[in-house]
Amino acid sequence: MTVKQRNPRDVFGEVLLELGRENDSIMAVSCDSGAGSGMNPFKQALPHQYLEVGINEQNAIGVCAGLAEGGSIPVVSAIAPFISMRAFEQVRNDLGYANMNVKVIGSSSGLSHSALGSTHQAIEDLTLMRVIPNMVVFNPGDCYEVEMSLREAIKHKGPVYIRMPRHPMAEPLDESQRHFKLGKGEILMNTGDEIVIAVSGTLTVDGLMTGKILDEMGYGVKVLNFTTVKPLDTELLYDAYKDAKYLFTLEEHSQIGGFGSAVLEALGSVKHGVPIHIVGITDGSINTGPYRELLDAYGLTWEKVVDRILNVIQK
Amino acid sequence: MQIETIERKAFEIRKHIVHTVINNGDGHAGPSLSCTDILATLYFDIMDVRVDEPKWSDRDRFVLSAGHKCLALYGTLIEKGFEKADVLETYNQLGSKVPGHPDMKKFNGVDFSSGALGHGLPIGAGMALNAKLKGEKNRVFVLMGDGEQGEGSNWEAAMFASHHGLDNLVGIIDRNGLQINGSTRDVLDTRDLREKYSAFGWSVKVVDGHNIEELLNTFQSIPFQKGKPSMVIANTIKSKGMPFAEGNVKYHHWNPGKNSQESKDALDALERYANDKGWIK
Repeated sequence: MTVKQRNPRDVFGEVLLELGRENDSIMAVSCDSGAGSGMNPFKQALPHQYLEVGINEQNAIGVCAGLAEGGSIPVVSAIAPFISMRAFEQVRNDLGYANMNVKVIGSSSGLSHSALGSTHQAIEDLTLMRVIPNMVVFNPGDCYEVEMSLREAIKHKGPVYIRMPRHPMAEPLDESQRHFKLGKGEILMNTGDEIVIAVSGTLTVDGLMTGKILDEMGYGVKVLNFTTVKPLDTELLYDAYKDAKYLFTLEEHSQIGGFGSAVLEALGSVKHGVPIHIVGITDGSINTGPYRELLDAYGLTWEKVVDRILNVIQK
Repeated sequence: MQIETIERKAFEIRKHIVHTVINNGDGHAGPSLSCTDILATLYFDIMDVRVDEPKWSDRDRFVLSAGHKCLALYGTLIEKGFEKADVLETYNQLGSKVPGHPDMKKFNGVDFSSGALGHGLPIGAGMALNAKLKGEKNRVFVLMGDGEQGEGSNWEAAMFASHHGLDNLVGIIDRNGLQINGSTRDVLDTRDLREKYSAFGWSVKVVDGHNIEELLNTFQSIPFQKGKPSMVIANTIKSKGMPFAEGNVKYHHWNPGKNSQESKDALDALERYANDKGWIK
């Protein structure tokens, strides 16, 4: 595990600027997104490729669709609930069905704005973005994944949603050990087949910590990480699941319709009598507080996840 | 001469609309017929498009924000030569290239898919901004309904377009005064749209949406003001060309059946009109 103090939005901003310098079709589109979007360096360096739309997400998505129709590559950022929910129909029709080359950045997603309350949290965006035709969905959990998601999103021709974290995160492996690819998951640890933990997004390190503790307790554990939620790496999932005794999914998202649901959809027709447990945010959870404390209250930190898994397997 | 050419094209487009609904069932006849003269004027005089190169990057663009008026757009694009007329025979059938709202992936000449109201003006604003940024001279026309003005996204785009000085963007409101549940005044009164768009920074003209000469003069004077987006409020009559249905909200959808009296009346009206014009020898 490597601990870096880089902020995901700073990394996003640096990489976007680099890509924008290489390709003048890329436009950074702000919805009065401010420093939280990480796009201020881009604005300073490439003002002719920067567009401020203001606080109007429905219009912003339509404008991006129009820009993309003419060959531009808009990268539009707003706080996740506003861009994925307020403008959902525009994203579905004008980007998804129309297959427009627009990159939608849901910034400060999940419980990032933990203290601001449920209006500013986005625990349903994976559900919504996943169901949109042609949409690729990235759920990066650390700075490496943020950087690679953005690079892959620009390479990919079509609509992409990137669910951006806000807080600096430790990285589960050294970058030299990671091979990021759109639609591919990765194995973070593999000491046996008994318990499989499939994690996506900001809880990657909590998933890995959980795996290490269970391993120390004598269980054989696989921890898999999926930055791409759609298309999902079903091959990696299936290979792990077919020999497992338990499969747990882990995410900072509602249990309804998110990464865990995607896993269930992928494995639902596999004949293998092993339960799949979705560890995520329970329906109806509307709580606020400091970020890690809120994760803990929802039972999503590694300490709580270990207990939850042991409760299941020791029954 | 040019006026008569456009009038004849409008007549042919109306025939496509009426025949398609009679032969294939349920369609938005009333709203399609109210915007027909506007579309004929745009595509047969004003807009620069290439039939043999539908995706030509410098073309003028047209977004039918009120996508339910698609029969008018299909008829226009067929008359222009983008597709063959027999494609309309598949209307309301499985896998049709002419669904009840236009799809850019299915029909040549459709510049953007539409259907959900309030989407077209933001998309058109994006297209217009893209042209400005690239130094291209093309214009973008967005046709909306008057009932559609209830969608808040239009007003977001209205603010955006004037803020960015998009004088290559032209909004058109097909103001036929009716929507599904009755008159626009009764359902949700838009009040004075000229004042509203003016207040949002647009340059606005109000025209008779069935007077080709007036439409031509109006569209030829775009932009009405340099540095401002233009809005054309076209006063129209729903179901224009079917006298028994004109101004009657009942004909927003129309499904007369092949051999009904209404079908006969509609076809007779078209023939009478052509006769009066001296087009049938």
